[in-house]
Amino acid sequence: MAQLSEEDPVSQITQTVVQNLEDQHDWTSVETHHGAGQRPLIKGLPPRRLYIHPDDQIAALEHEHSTGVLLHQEPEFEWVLAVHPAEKWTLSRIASVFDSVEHAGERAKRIVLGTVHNDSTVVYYLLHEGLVKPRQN
Amino acid sequence: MTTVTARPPRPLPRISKIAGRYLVFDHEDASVLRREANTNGSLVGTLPQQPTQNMFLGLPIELRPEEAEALVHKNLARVVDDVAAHQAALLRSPESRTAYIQSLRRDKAAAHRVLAERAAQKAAVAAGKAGGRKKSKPKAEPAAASNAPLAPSDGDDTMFASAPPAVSSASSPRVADSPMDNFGVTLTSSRDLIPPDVDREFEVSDTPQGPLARYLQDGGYHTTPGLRFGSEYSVYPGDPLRFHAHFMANQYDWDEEIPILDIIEGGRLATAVKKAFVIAGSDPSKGEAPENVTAYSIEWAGM
Amino acid sequence: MAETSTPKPAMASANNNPARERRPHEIYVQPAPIKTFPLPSFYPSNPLSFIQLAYAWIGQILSPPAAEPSIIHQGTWSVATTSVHIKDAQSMRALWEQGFYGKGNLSRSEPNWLKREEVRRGLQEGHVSEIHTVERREERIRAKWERARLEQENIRQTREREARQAEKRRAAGDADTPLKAHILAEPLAPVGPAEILALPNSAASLPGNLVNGFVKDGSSHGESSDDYSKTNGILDSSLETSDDTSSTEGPISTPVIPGLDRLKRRKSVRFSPTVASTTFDHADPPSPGHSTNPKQNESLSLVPQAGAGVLINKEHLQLMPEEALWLNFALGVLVVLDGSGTPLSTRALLNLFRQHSVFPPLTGPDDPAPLPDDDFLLHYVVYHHFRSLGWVPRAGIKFGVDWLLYNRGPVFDHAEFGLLVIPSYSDPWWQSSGKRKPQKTWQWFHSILRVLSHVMKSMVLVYVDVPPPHKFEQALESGLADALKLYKVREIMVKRWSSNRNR
Repeated sequence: MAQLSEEDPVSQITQTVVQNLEDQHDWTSVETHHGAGQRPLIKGLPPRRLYIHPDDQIAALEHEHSTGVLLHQEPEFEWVLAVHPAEKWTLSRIASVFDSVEHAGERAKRIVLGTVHNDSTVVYYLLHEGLVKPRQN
Repeated sequence: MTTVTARPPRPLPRISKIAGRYLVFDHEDASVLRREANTNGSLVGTLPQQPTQNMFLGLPIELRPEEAEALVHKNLARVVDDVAAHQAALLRSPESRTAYIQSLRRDKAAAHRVLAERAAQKAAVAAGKAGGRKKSKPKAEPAAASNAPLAPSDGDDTMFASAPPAVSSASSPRVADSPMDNFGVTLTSSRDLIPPDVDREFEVSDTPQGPLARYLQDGGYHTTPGLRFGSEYSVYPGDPLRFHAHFMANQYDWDEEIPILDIIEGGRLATAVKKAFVIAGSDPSKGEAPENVTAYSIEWAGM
Repeated sequence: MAETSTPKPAMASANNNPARERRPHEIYVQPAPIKTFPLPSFYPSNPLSFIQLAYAWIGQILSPPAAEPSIIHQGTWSVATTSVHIKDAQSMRALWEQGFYGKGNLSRSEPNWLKREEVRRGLQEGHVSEIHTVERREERIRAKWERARLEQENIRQTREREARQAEKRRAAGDADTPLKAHILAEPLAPVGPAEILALPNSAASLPGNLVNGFVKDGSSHGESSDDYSKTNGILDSSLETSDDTSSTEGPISTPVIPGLDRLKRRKSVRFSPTVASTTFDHADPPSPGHSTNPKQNESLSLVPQAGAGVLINKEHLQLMPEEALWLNFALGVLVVLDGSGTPLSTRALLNLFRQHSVFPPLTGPDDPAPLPDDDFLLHYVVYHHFRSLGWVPRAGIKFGVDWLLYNRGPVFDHAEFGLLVIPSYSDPWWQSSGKRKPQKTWQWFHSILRVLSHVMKSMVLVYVDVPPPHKFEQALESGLADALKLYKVREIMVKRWSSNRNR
């Protein structure tokens, strides 16, 4: 049983999420970012746009109506945080994750929370900073 | 009924603290809070004749302590220890007591008169319908009936008019009218009883604070209790009568542990009812609520 | 052309693939991965049945059936996913078909990634639930965009119409009655008694088309014409999204979009004999095992048969620790190997699973030893309890519960119950040690209850009486079975009661 605890559990669940993103959700350019003293974050490109803010959707429809051109369809890079369902987080830790994303580039408006369950389910939720109007469909 | 715009500026809405609950008894205060301070509270009152009533409740509205605090913080309302204020007002002088009773009588009279006018108006309409085919006469009559008696008695034309306390107009001639005595008035507010200076003495300042309540109040959001959706607050972008809730919000301390499963659970439920799940708290290192409050909205990623 | 990539008609394939023809009750005939050989019943009224009984009995004495379990499956402990992986194709099928154990790590439940890939590449035909789901989702995404577009269109038309009406009103402004003009100017709530009395009693007695100062436009805003707008008692988004135009909902009838009806929340569960997944509604968050990528589908199906011969099954069956321990300890049909290929004993498995039931795992030398109320044991006790009673418990994370309880299995029915495991420290030892129950809020409780009632499941609180540590350790010395006997399980079903609905 000695070989069981060599690897850090956080990087293991992160790796599981990376695999899941690639194999099941067809994400591309998936890479893991390790901040100093921070949780690792996964950056990747989903095959289709993951999120459109409801107001952007209205604007896109408006644009489509007037010009016939679809907007906001191309995928964007997303940040994914892998977590274990038995974990407990605090608001301050979530805030520090958002801060660490900022340091790696422009401040992210959202991160994706990937929860690894041991029945092999990985559940993805969007975590927006601030009060963000929910999508309606 | 057309004097809404002509009213003098009102004092701040009064929130009565009674037995640890924060209640607003005055309907105008309630509507001011609703219109101007995006606070709707929950109706908790029943009719005296229907004490078992549990739907379609009426005044007073009850505010949660942190809601009341958020209003006080923004100087949109004041909280008064109602029991103490009442006792002080009643014990102060016998005159104020009699003046109050007189004001009740006056209100009775006003209400009675309104009803009498309505009855007369209805009778006139009925008579007009039965009487002749002429359209102009019955139409003109009720209009005259409703305008004429209201005009002279300015100031006490409605029973809840925000007139100054009874002391000033105690010499109403109609007070002694005998048929009035069997005509009861249930007042929703005892505002006239307590003079403003007494009221001010008993303002409460130690209302428990909720950073999230302040944050939502400050952001112009309406809230209702969110237990139905498994959260502390249901958050509406406007009046709940017009909008569906956008968020289910929970408040946490900055370093309070939040199980990931709870976040997922909340996100799942919120998405199923087309809302977002919000977790929020205030960072004590960044000053005071609502400025230091950070909120996170959670919804299903759709993957 | 027809024989290369396009799917062949069903008739042709029916013969060369007899496995698919089996009915679900034939495939899943064995409820557990062990066989039993019961003797036929004897009816005194029917002497022939004695002959049957004697025949079977003598037959079993003369040629006894192979000792059960005849097949012992092998699994590997995976520390990264804290689970047991089964990679052998036959074991995967067997464990799934005989009691619904585990989950295909690339599928929603039944491990059919390989089949899905084959269908995608046109090697095999038939239908796989995940492909269906992908198609449905594509359709849904298109329909949703279309719906959003129509909603927008509705709003635009309403705005234009309102603008025209406002124009008209302005033109005819002087002709209006003063009362109407006044109310239009001041749409304030009628508060005082006189104002309330002045309100009309019904729409018929209105002077114009005014209610409460709001302009009424033929249809009241309560009855919007969208057929999808009222689902489950929750009004649709139309009111919420259009902040500024919400007070008037135009009488424009929404054109019917194909596929739109599917957007309605489905409360009822759908049964399909061949689909192993449980689909509930479009807002079902945790539903892995399918991709929503159309490009991927196309590119894969367009690839000629190049990679077809070398299709490797990337999928494994993943057993949760509770399932693995049940198969190993209670049924004895599973051997779990550790990373180096050495089989683990039941005790070693138990320790391993208990250490990994928290995050990060307590595997360090100076980590505290787990108590008899650790998450794994509590969940295992409940799993063991319901498996022993013939239920099929499966992971309930989708719905935020600890277990979902199926009567026969996910192929046959939907889970009727969601279980919440709650430790109960009734033993005096716990009380003296100051142990307290986990403190959960009413909000938490309501949110789970609401999620479950959305998917038509009942909530069951499963209280597990936890023995004190010294008794537990003592019993564990003589075996896990003795230790488990110390636990007691009580179930309480919770239903929402509403005075208005349950009259």
